[in-house]
Amino acid sequence: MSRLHDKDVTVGMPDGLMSFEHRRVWEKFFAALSVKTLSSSKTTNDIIRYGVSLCSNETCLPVKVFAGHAASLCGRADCIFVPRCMSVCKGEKSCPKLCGLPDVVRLSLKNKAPVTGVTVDLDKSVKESGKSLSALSETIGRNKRSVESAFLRIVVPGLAAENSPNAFIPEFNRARERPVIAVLGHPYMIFDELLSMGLIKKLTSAGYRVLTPYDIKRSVRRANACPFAGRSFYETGLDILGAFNVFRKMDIVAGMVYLTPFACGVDSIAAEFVERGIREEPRKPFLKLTVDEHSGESGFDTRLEAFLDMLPAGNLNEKRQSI
Amino acid sequence: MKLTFPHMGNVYISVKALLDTIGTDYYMPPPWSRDNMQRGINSSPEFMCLPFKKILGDFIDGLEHGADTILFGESCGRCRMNYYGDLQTKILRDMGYRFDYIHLNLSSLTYGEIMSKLGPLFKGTSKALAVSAVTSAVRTIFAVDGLYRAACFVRCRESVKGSTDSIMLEFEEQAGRARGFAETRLALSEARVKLSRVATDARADPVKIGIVGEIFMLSDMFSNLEIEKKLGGMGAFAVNTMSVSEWMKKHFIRAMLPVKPRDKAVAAAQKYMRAKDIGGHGIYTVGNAELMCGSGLDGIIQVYPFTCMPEITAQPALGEISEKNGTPVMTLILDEMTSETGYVTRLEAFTDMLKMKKEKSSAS
Repeated sequence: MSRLHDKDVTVGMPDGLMSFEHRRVWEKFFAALSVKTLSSSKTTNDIIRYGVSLCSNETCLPVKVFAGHAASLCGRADCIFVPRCMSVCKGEKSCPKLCGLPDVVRLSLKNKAPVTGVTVDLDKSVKESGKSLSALSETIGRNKRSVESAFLRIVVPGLAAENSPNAFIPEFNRARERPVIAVLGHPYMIFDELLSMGLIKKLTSAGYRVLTPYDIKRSVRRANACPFAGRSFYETGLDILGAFNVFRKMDIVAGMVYLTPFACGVDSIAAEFVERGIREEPRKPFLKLTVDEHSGESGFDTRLEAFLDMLPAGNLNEKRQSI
Repeated sequence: MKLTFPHMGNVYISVKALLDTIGTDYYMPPPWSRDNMQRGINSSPEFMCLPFKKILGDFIDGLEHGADTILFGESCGRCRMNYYGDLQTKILRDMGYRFDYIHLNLSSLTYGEIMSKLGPLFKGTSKALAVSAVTSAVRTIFAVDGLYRAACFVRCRESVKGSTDSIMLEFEEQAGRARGFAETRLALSEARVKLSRVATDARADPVKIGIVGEIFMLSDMFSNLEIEKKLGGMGAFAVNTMSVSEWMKKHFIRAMLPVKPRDKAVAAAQKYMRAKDIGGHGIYTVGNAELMCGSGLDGIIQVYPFTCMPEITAQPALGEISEKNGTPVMTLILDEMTSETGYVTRLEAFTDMLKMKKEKSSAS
């Protein structure tokens, strides 16, 4: 046993992009191999600023922030773990930016820290990961076979788990009488407090319950992802479209807010289907908020307030308060 | 049935000849129409890429002119192009148009796929004629791209400025009037002869600029604001790495081969991008840039439409390639807001810099 564990490396895990959905899966994977992991902190203004300075102008805010997270781990971890998630299950694919992410991070960090990762392309075959797993096993100093078995046991089913770690159903049940606002968007936008400018908190403190795509079971999201149900599409796009089609039929949903990073490719399709769908019955009030590193919080709040004032449920709430 | 199809560079020359040969009724939108593009832009999502908007504009024009069937291609890669059809159909139906949508699966474009999808078009034509027409269409695509490449070679060396451009303009007019493959071939061979007779400066040693990037932008002269012509006019030899014929080689001809040859560009890209696919032609952008740096190029220009996902991913690798090889790289991002003047200024500055660099290195 000691022979296997002769290397004691700490793997740095940047807390951005799909780590919001998959962080626990990878942590469990490394825990099973008894490898120490170190998560970067929550997104801070410094991380955003540093990430923006590292990346090319054109890339989207979440990728820039991810690079910032990776940079914040330099010197603290022995290597930085950036998975190359090409697809997490059959018939799905990831955004091209996630496919090139390890390279983009490596090139942006300019060799300040070694970048390691696993290629995951489950749409093609689980075998696609073979090479990268053996490279990883060398980096972390673990037996190749145990790395592979941990990958098959924990990561492969974990990445496409039915229940998302971001589901907050318990809280939802407690506040049953309040009207609901559905927040649509990528997990790394809506669950990142700084990038979302505290959107979920703001809605909650304004007296609403919040539902996100990740409160719905994965299979339900996929089955409702019209017009891409049963077809290949981007993972986050399927989540958003599926959730949208479920939410719009729910009477308790008073309105929807779509949070999107500036110039997002996936959202240029998904949001357009949502915006066109919202005009068909049953109609719901809808707000699309676009943010990037230059967005001001006051402008964001003004729009959100105006939207909430417009909601019939909001008025009802006010009325109730005035009574 | 009346067919319409969108433009992508000079492919229309071949498609038109094909449709004329098999006798299909069709409407072709004008190849250079700012108005059509504007109509596409008006109905497209804001952050969609320029090719989508331009193609949608062509569809709207076609449907306005009485077309009831749209012919377009889709593949199964990671680029947004695969979902153009879904969204465009939705947008056009919402606008109130009624039409059939034929989409060719471009990732497995074989004779079988073409014949089955285009079945309704070939009604009344014998199978032999249909196969020979498709073959001629493919050959014409190669011949047309060959002509444009030859024009790039001559343009930067011509003694009288503008002589190449006038030949190409004449060719485009003649090819636009041509009906069927025989007339198209005639236009092609005439243009080739004329190009070979252009007086060139034998001592000319133009700077060589490689163009990499998104395939639609690189092959569509209207969308890339005639980058080849502009660079040629500035006395630079533009080498365009992406064209429809290159694409045909990869997807149509390679698909028919029993043993697939190794892709040099993908192999060369592995030094910077350790993946076989980052969507679209992103990996080819990196690979071609690396290959060209090794073949005595003076500079590289990357061209892509604003928000293009694969090219944005490829962009950091180009910076690294530039640093390692000492070859200047410039990235130009185009959208409907791009000003042609600003574009020309950048091209001029880049070309001037390359010329000075070349003079300096040849003097020392």
